[in-house]
Amino acid sequence: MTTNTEERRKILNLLGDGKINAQEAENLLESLSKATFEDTPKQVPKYLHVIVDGDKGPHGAKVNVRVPMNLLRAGMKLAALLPAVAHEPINKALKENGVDFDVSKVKPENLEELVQHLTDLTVDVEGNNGEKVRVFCE
Amino acid sequence: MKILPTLIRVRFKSPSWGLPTLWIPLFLIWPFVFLLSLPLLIFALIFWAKFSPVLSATYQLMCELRGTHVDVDAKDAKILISIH
Repeated sequence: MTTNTEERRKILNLLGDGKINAQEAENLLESLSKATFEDTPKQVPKYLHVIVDGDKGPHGAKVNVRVPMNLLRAGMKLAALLPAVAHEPINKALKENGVDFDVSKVKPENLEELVQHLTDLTVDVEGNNGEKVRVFCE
Repeated sequence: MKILPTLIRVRFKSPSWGLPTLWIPLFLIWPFVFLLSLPLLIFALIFWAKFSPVLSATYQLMCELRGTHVDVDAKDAKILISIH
């Protein structure tokens, strides 16, 4: 962070001395902030949170579910080992519930990519009756 | 080496009956589960070629249960399951 401050000060000094114009200074500052962002190690989320805050009525409920991301990975690895004879009934059950998905096409290399994208998932929904649903990774 | 969950906290409450918060020591239960399933494990290892990776994946799945937390607070029921 100190290095970043020094770099920014140098750029501003150059601008103040007239050695660079405003556009060049802006470009330099932008590339500096980009480099800083890329250097900062991205924190890997550990948990998938699902929080439901029901409406204020008599049937409202509060749900707080926290699932470790590694559990999702382990579950998908186990699902990839399912024997071929189990794929058909699973696909059928999924289709009956509105999910048109073929589990036989799930490959281990896709699983990690799927979990990685899941870490960027954020869902924040508020219903008309005040119910709230939040899904996020932390 | 990954370790299986050691404790599970469970609480259940409904209008008619309920349980106090239970802390179940899973680390005492796992050896019994292993001993009871040992004959089946040996049989599967001998006669099912792909059982070893399935067993490994199942063990890993059970280890990763640590940290799972489910808390449902409805008007007519309260459920808490927390795996440590």
